[in-house]
Amino acid sequence: MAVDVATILAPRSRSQRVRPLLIGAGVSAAATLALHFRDPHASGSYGGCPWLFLTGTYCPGCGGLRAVNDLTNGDLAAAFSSNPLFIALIPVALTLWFLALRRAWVGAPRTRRQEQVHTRLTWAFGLVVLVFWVARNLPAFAWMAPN
Amino acid sequence: MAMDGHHGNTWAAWATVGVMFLGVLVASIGMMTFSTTTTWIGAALVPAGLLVGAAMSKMGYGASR
Repeated sequence: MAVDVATILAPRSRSQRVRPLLIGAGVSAAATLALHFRDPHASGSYGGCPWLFLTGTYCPGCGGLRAVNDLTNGDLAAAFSSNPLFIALIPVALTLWFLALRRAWVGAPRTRRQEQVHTRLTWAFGLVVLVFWVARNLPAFAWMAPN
Repeated sequence: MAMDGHHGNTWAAWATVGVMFLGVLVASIGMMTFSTTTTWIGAALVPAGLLVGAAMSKMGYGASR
């Protein structure tokens, strides 16, 4: 749901600035609803993971759809065991979304400091995903693998 | 870059897009038919598209700079 500053702040009116964020939220909500009613636990119900198919190892996203389905059923433990990183990132994503919404509402551009934090968070995110990718395929960190 | 006015409409760019798109298409067919060989060929075509684009750009079919 990362939206570029330029896309949000370039349009003049408030509704134009807020629109991409609301569309993003709407699409996410629709996808969540779809994942609740069409269970991704059924193998192949949403196709398969190309990485898993080719290498036999899990990618960082494996178990993500199942985790969302588990969450919509209120089963946090099952969701966590499907994809712990995905679950841990949901509160982060929500926080960033609300911050972006507030900034779009006011129409103020990011400060230099905010730009700096944004860059660092992006790099940190990439690093965390890489570490998670390797770890969940190691026997010692089997709890990170999908179920 | 996006403001150059040509919108990336060059032979090099379209070759890149074309080869990468073909790669995704082949990989998709490979996955649907459960063929690892076909999927690998498609997966290899995706980075190959980048190489083709870079080479064509060097040969002068890219954006003028």
